[in-house]
Parts: sequence; structure tokens; C-alpha cells
Amino acid sequence: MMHNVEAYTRRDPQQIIDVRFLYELLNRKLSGLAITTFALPDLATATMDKIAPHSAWPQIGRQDVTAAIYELIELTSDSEGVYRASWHAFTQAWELIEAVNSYLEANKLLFPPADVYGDGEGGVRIEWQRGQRELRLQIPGVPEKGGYLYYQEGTDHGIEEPLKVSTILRRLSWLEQA
Amino acid sequence: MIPRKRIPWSGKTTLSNEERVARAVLYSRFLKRGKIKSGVFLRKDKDDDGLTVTNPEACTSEELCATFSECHGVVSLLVGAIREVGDGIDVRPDLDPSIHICDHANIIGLPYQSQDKDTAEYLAGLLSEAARIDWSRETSV
Repeated sequence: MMHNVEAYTRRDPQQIIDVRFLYELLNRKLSGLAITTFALPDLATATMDKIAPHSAWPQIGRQDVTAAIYELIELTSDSEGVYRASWHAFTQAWELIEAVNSYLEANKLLFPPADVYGDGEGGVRIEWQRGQRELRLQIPGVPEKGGYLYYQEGTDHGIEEPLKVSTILRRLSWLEQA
Repeated sequence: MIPRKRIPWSGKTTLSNEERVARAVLYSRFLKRGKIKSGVFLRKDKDDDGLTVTNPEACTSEELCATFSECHGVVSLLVGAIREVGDGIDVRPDLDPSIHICDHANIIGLPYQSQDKDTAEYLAGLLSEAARIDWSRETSV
């Protein structure tokens, strides 16, 4: 999917700030994830597909976290309509992915493949499934609402809240043991 | 929207377990790798009357999708399967012909995600598993 930044900037000047912020955030975060960073291209020709580091994807072991980040970045696009993520949800989701991945990398573990999508209220959902075990991370669109981690195996299910990196890591470990 | 000159749900106030109901999927990420995400069946605060479903006998999937500005597919499930997921979960047909050209009904009895997130997530997952993809824009092009 390609999103023309020039079209954003022409339509809404505020989007320029969003795009610059996104670049800064991306390079800072990607650097933190030890993934190739990108120079800020000319905004007149910049497109979202250049922001997302397709060329970095083939790095063995990093595809799944990069794919999750790419899907998260796409959630900030106008094309997501009512499913577009709020900045609150976007940044919180990013922080959680980064923190989880940092721990996993430090322990030579891989970020599990995840599905990332909007909840229709500005929030972000990140879901993992392995065998009969399933995790659904709900990150709210506004800070007033609390996020949670839903887990399920067969008819056994429950909620972990409030959201903590340690809880997500514990449940990801549980997922991997499926 | 132009109402059809037909009686919605053939005038039935209760649907049989063997009947199917359809739900339009308005978000591309709800259908991924042939799977239906639980988000399709999560009841939000805006879903006052329940989750909207329609009558697959009244419209084809393409016709149903065409009634929305953005639609990525149509899923359907048996009324009996909906009832099986929990006590009080049912489908309530709407007999007002002006509501939707494809007949309108609501899946009722589901908790709001904001009120009972555990049960809402669990039931949404069960409904996703019970549903099948009747039509997807991705596979039709």
C-alpha cells in the first residue's frame, strides 16, 4: 500500500508535522531496534512505503517485529478511515513492541508473528496465535481507557490488566510453549 | 436507500437455527489469511442495539457490500451457532423494510467490550470461529 505524503501535506498542513514526527520517531526507534534507519527524504516525493523499511525486512529474525511495526505505521494513515490509530495508541503500541522486542533480542529470542489492526475507536489491537493459545493485546485510543491483554486456550480465558511489559513477556512465553 | 417491495425475513419474528445471517466486513484487516478477526464481533459502545447482520437470502454478498462506502467482504454464520455461544445470545429480526435493503437484524445479548472485556473477547472469538467468509474483495479481484 502506498500513501502519498505530498497529498497529505497539501490537504492538511498539520500532516506535515505528523510526517516529520513520524520520521524522527521511526529513525530513533528503528535505531533502538538495531534495524536500518533511513534518511528523511524530500517530503515532496516521500511516500509511506519509503518510510517503512522494506529493504531491512530480509534481516533474519527481524521480519516479524518489522512487519508488526510496519502494520502499526500504516494504522496512522488516512486510508485506515475510522480504524486509524490515535497518536496515543500508536506511541503506546510502539513502546510496548520496542520494550518486548528488546527483551526478546537480549535473550536471543524472536518476536512472534503478530497481526496488528485498529479497533475503530482510535485504539490498536495486536494479536498472536499459536496452536490453541491466543493473545489479544488491546491498546486504547485514549489514555482515560485502560488497555488489557486477553488470553485464551480452549475454554480457559481471562484478562491481564493493567498492561505491563512483564505481563506481555510472561504471556508470550506461555504462548510459545503451546 | 430504496426499500424493496418485500417483507423482511418473510415476516418472521424468530429465525430458525438453520438460517444463516450475514455480516459485512468494513475493514480490510478483519480478514487476514482466510481468517476472521475477533474484532468483527466485538460489541462497541456505539452498538446500542447489538451487532448488525443481514439476510443472505435477500441480497448477494456483492449487493450487501455495495450498500457501504467501504466494504472488504461478507461473513455469515448459522443462527443456531450464534445461539450456542451463550445464554441470551440470539438474532432479533427487524421487520421494518426501510432499515436495510438486505433485511436487518441484530445479534443481541453480547456484552459491551467496555463493560465485560473478558466475556466480550471470548464470545467474539467463538463467533469468529463459527463464521465463514462468503465473499472477500481480496479473493474476488
